[in-house]
Amino acid sequence: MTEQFYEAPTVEQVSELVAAKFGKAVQLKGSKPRRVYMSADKGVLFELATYIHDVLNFEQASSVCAVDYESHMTVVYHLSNYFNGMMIELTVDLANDDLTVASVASIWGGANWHERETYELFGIVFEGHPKLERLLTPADYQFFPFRRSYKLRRSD
Amino acid sequence: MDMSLYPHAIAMSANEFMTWSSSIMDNLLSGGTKRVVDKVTGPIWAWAMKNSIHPLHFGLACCALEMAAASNTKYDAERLGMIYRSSPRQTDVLIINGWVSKKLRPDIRRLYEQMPNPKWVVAMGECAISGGPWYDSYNIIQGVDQIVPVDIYIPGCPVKPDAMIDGFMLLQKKIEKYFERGVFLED
Amino acid sequence: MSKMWVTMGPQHPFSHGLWTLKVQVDGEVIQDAEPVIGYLHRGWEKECESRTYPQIIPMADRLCYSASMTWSHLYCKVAEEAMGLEVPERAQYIRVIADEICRIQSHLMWLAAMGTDLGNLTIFLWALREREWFLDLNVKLCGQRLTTNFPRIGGVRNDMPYLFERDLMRVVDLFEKRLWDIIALTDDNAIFMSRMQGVGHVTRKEAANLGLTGPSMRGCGVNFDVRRDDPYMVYDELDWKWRSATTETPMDVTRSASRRCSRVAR
Repeated sequence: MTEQFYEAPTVEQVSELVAAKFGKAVQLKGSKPRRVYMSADKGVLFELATYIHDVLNFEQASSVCAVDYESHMTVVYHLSNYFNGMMIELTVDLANDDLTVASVASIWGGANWHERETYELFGIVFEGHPKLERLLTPADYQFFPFRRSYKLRRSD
Repeated sequence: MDMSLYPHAIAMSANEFMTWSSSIMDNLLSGGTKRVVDKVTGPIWAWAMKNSIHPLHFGLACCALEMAAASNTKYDAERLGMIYRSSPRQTDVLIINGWVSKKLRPDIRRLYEQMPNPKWVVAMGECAISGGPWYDSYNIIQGVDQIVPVDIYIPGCPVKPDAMIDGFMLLQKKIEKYFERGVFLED
Repeated sequence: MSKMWVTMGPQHPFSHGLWTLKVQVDGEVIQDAEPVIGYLHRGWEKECESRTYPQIIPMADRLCYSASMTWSHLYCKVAEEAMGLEVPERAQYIRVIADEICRIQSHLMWLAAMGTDLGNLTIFLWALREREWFLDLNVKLCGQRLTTNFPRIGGVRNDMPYLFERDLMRVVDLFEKRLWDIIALTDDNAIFMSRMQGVGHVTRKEAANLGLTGPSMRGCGVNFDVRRDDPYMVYDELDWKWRSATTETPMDVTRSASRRCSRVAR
């Protein structure tokens, strides 16, 4: 690969490079000192994640979680660079009838368990995950607790 | 003892041994002697058992940190004789100090059943008493007394070590009452 | 040599947290391990959905109960950022002070537990004794020892009580002296070193990739401290030294931060 490796890219560099490489598939939603917010299409997620890890040197997936907006679900990735304290927040929207997305567990080891947890709580299937099983809840739970459709004892 | 009276004494089942030994005890000790023995030894049993409460090394959540803090130099639970044991087979008291999830439920029951009699259970903190702040959780049991019979409830969130020691002094009173009647009397 | 799977079940004498570790041992060397977690799963985020925003603060405390103030502080920052609220400067300083007190007592608890694991019960008693000073400070400031419920969305619950700075500086000064005793028990201890050095070696790249954070990460060589490199609250205005990784690094840093902080807040 002849891509230049950025050990500690600045906010502007990250925004420009990602926009240049991925064009319309990635929408940049804003930036702050040491923070970049972007939203990506499902299809380019794995390529984008590889790019962010290999070229932009974001070594850690600090967290992978999901949000259930009742019309759709969103997977949120927080990726950290420990050379300049930057963090990228990357969101991927998923339609309610197609809750699958590529797994980034092979890129960031830390995302492995986070994706398992997101799967067991929301029901989002991460394709390519080496061991997508329940992590926290007992193995005989049949439901996905964090979906809006699941009601707790007290709530309305 | 004249074993020829009991030629089958060597090969006895457990039930036979129980009936044989209790019949011997009933023969040798009349009711009056039992009461005297108990009056003498009961308080000794009680004093010994209440001053050597051995809890299990079982830390669940926030109250476990306060349980550990109760063993430090400021609160010193060890003056009550509390030495934590690692194996449930060697303990008297099971302290539940934190919220109990459904995944843990069979393990707590098993730990309770692994403890030899006489045993006591102390529910420490709001989560063990009634589910605490997690009252509407899908994964938390609303009170550990749904699984094991609880003897002492210590309120607090988290329980101050003073309160825990106070709770254990109450447990000491309970143990004392239990053993003072002696080991022969059934009531 | 036969290998055996041993379950170190949810009840184990380490007594910090519930998790099962199934290890495949070959004699006494661990060949493989499989952790089983989830005994403390509450569905916290789901429960937050049926609470009002201030009601979540004490629940956030119990997310990680050893350093509870940091978690409720985190939640309050999130709420403030979402609302666009600016926290007054004095409240920021008070939050940092309470954070650091919490952090020091959490590190002392870790030290005590680690010492117990290695059989060094002296550290257990010494560290817990020092920890009591910081918990007393917590009581003076927040009213509660461990899960303090102190920050509020937009500030803190109450101002520092009268003469709190005097008590804080007194505790920090005394603790600095005592810290050297504790360091002497660990850093030069041959037994300690031989049982800890080289065990569970994680390279720098693995540490960052797998998601280690905090002092564990700094121990693996990642040169990053959120308070220095990605500062929040008033950490960028405080003048404090950052020392390289030793056993006692986190406490050194927090100590100096809390000293500067309380001087400024006075």
